[in-house]
Amino acid sequence: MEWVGVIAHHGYAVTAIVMFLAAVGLPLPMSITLLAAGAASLHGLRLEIVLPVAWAAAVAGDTLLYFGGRYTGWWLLAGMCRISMNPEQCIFSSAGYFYRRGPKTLLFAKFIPGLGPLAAPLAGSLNMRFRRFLRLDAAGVALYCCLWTIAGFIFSPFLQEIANWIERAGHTLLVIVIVLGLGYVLGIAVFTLRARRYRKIERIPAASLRERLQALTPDKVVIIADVRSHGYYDAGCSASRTRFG
Amino acid sequence: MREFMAPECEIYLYCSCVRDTTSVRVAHMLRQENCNVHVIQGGLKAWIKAGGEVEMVPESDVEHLPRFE
Repeated sequence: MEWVGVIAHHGYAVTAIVMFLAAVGLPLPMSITLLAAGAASLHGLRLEIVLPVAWAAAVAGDTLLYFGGRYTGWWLLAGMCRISMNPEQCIFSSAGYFYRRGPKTLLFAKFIPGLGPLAAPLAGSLNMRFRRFLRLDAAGVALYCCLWTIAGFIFSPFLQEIANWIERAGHTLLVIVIVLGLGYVLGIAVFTLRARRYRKIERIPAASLRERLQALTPDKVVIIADVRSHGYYDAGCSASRTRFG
Repeated sequence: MREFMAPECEIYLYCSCVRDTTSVRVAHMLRQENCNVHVIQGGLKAWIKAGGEVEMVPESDVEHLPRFE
């Protein structure tokens, strides 16, 4: 199992880097890394060191994103969701977890695909107090790290079998990965085609609208409407509904 | 509300979504009701950047998101 060998040799550093980068949103395999770290503890890596290292790296990454969400609002979330097939649904379905289950979402966020990297910046953008975030996030990350690392430790012989099978499967797996990749591209294409029905909606640059408003005649009625969803208002001022004419 | 949906009334929508998504969706629904509707490209940020006037939302109109305090 090559990944176990890498972890066994460069153990703590690799685990810390992968956990930190995955926590800040990069698509890296947190659970597989922890499984490998657990398995590698039978080959020289010390569990009592790798667990706190993994935990600290993940919490550090989450804290960075928490402050990112706190000070950039939903801008950061939009950026992180950009690679998703449906970016808007990505943000709102993740936010839905917080609306339904409150701050305790942080305890299990890492276990839910897609929600893990978004939970911390969401907590920041929804103004969760930092100490409360830290407490809940630390507990959730600890649970996540312990479960996967201990699973790797216990099931190490089986992991070796799985690794051998993966090595034998070789080309078949490559085909599966390619098919999944094509599926993703197809999904993007379908969403793009569905969005074409909105092409008829005229978009006007803000500067052009201002010029148009300045040339208005008194008999004309113009409404500028704020349709931001969830009642969310950006920090600071907002354009109100304005009626001219 | 119906008077605002007459074709003579121009409606401009803005939001703060990626690619003005909410505005486009609402505009699509209004267009099906034969409204004369447009989307402000770039949303509120673009309006402010172009020097458009803004004012604070009255406190009674603000809908607060759940805040974990």
